[in-house]
Amino acid sequence: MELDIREPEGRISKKAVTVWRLSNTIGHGITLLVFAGLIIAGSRFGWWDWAMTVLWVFGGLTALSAVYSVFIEPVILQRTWRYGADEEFVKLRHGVITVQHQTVPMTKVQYVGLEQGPLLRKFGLYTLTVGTMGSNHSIPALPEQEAKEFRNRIARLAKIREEDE
Amino acid sequence: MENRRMHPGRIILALYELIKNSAIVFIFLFVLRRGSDAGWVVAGRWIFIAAISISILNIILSWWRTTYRLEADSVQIDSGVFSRKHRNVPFRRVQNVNRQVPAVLRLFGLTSLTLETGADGEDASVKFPAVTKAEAARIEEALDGYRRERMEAARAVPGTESVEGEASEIQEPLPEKARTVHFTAQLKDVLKASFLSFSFIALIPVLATVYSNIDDFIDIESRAEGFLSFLAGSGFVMSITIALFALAAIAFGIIRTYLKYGRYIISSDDERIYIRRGVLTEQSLSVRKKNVQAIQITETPIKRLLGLAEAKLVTVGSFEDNLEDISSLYPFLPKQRAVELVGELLPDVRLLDGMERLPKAALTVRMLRFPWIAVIGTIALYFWRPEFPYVPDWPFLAAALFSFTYLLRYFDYRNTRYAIRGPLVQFRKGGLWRETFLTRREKVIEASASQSWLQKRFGVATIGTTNRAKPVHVEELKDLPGAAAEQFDRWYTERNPELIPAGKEAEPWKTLQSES
Repeated sequence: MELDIREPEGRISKKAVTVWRLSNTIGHGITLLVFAGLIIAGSRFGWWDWAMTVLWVFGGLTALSAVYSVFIEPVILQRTWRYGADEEFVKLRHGVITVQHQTVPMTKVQYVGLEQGPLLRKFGLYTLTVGTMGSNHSIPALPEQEAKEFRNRIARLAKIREEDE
Repeated sequence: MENRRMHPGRIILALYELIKNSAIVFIFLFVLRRGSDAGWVVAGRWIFIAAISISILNIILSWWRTTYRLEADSVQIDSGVFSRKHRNVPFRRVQNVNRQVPAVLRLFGLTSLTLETGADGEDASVKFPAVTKAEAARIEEALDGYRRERMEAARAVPGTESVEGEASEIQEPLPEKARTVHFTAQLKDVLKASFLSFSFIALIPVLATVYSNIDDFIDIESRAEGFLSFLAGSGFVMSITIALFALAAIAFGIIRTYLKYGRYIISSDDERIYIRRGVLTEQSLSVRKKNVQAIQITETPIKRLLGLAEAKLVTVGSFEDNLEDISSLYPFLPKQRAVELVGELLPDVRLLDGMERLPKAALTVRMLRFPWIAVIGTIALYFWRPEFPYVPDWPFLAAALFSFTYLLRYFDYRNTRYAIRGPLVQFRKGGLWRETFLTRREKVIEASASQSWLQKRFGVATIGTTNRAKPVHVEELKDLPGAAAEQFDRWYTERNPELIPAGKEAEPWKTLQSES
């Protein structure tokens, strides 16, 4: 039974799927290469059996998680991401296996920022970060126009202060 | 307003600390090696004298060069002997005030005062290491005056300002407000505290430190061995020694507890809560009721057996060492009394009774969760196979680990309660250690609700709150019914705190500039 919490409307860019696929391929690819190198070295130089077993087990697990995080996760994650802000709250909802709903009062927002790594730049996307007193939350992969509008909106709304500070 | 220096007692305090820290080196160089004229000892003495002289000079100069000034809305501090540093700490950032009065300062009738802000890093607090009590009161009054003025300004019609009124209010000491004393530690409280905190065990590390320190200089090992064999020779002498040691340990524990928890007084007035404690070193905290972010009540297994509990105020400021538990409302109170105390101190917070229990489905979910620690522990046991006398074989250990894990889960399920009512939310959880957490909606700076795949199958969810503290206080309650999580979400979005209109904050600066 799903939670009946009114979710925000905003969606992140469809291109996020490609970006995540690329970055996960690179990340997992490097890890797999390291494992492959170790396994080859191990069989050449006759390492202990238990070390080889451990390498095969962890290598296998990495390969499985690579399949999941390259082919399956990006699609679902992109589809399930929602963000939004009204006068009073910034709301986020995301998650594949565990669905997270987050509510941050506008008055508690300390800063908003945009970030762009090389991959995101290639696709013209931005990551928006909302920082509060205690933590920060990121909305990944927003198109430039939306990212800037949303940032300005939050920056304007977050000007109000609470009595207790 | 004029610049002021710390009381010259600051120099005495710093000198005392210098002596305390360098005493061992002094004893070593000038007492134990007094006859020696080895090169390194002689060089060491000269270096020591030089270092001490520089430190003393530095202490005096830095006292001379450190000044502070109270403004209408902030405190300005200038410090630094050569490179000057200016700090401006707005009063609105100050969350609570604490004092730590070591015995040395008390001899001179002085006190130290620390203003804690919510900021991070080294500028998080402003410390006045030695000021007279009257001056400390003046600083606190300046804080209160500023706050009152701001509250009134918020209430008054915008546009009607009274700059004159503000200034005079701060200079004149305000009339003493009536304080209510809520709790004073009696002798029986101290005795209870000393046994419950196992303070008598503390004698052992103290003895060990003394022993190893003496052993560095004098070879007592061989003497001790002779003494031990003498003891072992006679059962009578042995038992008397053990009895004496036990007595000494208990006496030591009681004295130690008395020095820390003795003269524990909790009081309050309309605005603030005051906690003070300590006999030789006096520690105190004064926190605005409005700045208390949450209440936490902890019951350890022993305290639960005896019906005791510790209530703690969650506040924003961070505390230096030895002070971290100053926000506790006496750790060894009967639970009922602790609950009443919270109600007396914070009129707008009341511990809720009749909390909801978790549904049966929560127990199922909890039992189905993968027992990571037990499984990893079992794998480790399988490979390690510990073989010690009196320790059973690994399968028994693994079985014990699993049953302990599941038993704790069951206890936790039984103990967990929650209530979302009016402006308050309250959680209780814990298997053996039980913890109750209570906060107001306005104090929650972030709320979350989440649902894992497993929880979704059974219609339960997790909710979480984040409160200001250092580091932030995150509280989570797992496996409450989905409907309750939805209710929690709605409850939070009805949050309605007092707001300060944008731009209001900038105003005091205008008056400041015109003054200077």
